[in-house]
Amino acid sequence: MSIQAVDDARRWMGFHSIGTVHLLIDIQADIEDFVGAVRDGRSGVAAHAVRSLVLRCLGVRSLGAGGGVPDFDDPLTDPFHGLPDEVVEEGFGLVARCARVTGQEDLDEVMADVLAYARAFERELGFDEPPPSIRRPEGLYPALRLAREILPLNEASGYPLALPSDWLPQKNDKTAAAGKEQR
Amino acid sequence: MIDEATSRRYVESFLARRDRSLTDLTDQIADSFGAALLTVAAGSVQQGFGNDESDVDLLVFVDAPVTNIPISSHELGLPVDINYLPVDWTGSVDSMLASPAYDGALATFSDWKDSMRRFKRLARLACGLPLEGTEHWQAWLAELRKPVTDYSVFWWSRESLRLRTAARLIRETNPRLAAQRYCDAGLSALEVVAAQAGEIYFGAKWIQPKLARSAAARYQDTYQFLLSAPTRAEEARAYNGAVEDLLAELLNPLPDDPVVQLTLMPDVKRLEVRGRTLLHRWGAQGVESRTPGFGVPGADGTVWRGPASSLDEDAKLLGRQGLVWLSVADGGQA
Repeated sequence: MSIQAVDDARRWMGFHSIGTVHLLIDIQADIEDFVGAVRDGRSGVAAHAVRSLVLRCLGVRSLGAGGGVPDFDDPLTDPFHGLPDEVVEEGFGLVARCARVTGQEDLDEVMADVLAYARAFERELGFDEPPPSIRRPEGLYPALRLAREILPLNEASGYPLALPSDWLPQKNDKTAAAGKEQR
Repeated sequence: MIDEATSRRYVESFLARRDRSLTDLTDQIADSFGAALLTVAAGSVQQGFGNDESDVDLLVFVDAPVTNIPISSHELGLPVDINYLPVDWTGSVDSMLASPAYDGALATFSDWKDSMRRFKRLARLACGLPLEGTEHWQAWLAELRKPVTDYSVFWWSRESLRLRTAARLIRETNPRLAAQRYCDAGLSALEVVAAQAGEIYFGAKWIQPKLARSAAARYQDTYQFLLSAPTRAEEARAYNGAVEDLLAELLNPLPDDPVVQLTLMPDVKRLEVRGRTLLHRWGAQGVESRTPGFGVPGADGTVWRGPASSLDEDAKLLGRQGLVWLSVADGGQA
């Protein structure tokens, strides 16, 4: 078969659109923070970046798997809802490993696994190559174009708009009514 | 806590690696909003935490209405983010520090978010490096550090209490998730410890280097422990108990049973049909009730208020479904 069933198209749209925004804005920042911290030998900062990355990847995966729209400020909702135990364990296993490293060699070893983890998440969102970085001059406009591409998907999902308001094109009344900014 | 000379050295050496100077940096400030009354370097570079890819953050006070969006520039061959602030913003800072009440004013999610943003900017400003400014505004900045340090201890203590309360609400039914909340509560408690040692720079990822260079260096092992939160139920329960003990040690006296309040999250809608009420957010998760008036906030804007220990299963379900925001009403014992 060349096609597969999608039982909840709204959730599919939310996963791809909200997930892409989290990837562009926060997860890539976590990856860059992590790589910078490893290069500087700051294992504590690296572990913090991995935790943030893992929480976000799991939260977005949960949206695709039956959970709610990830809200990382709300301590009562479950960002792992609908995820198999081994998926959650894999992520936090990486965090714990990074928190316990004792030297640069250990840190370099963990780095390979963290980057592979992040790359796997990018592929789930359909990125065969890593997406452009909004924190680099050459990546800003490609990232903004990408954000514009996923906006119709985000609006059609009925979930809140994940894009920051200053990334959005000038709103008309119809667009404004489609949803309010959540971030 | 680093002194001004050290901070200046961090910025100068960062710029020197790119053949740039502090003058090159301040030359980036446009006069579109009028003359700068006070210019402060206020980011990770100035704290000595930044790496070669970090941007330099400037806070620039002007006597004019300004854009709320940072102006980014790459003209120097390095990213510079300039945040223009209207000088009347300092009035809100003075009133915030004068009466840092948590009760009522911070009941909703939006209140909390606004408070966090203001506090972040304020904390970075207070430990920032003044680059230029009038005598009046330089003196104002110099006076800020002590009250902002006190405010940081207060803000992070309440944050730790809020997160511990959330962790307690879910620890029996979902110990794995509670472990993550206990981790957050513990990290907030370490922010309290760092602030007490004078490290008030706001930035969650920098807590370990802040501890390492301060009088609180002994808590680095605690940081490592907190980030190693387990995912299996039995291990998570043990971890949760250990963090409870840690919080009692770090934040004593922390009220054991604070008054908490629940307010509806933004975009929560209420629908009624034949005596049944649906409360939902974005047409996704919700709850149904047959109680008349269910989900209508009271006169104080809350849908539930009382001691944390008396939160019932209905209130917990509202929380799990993402319909309410939990806040601590005050710091006292219920």
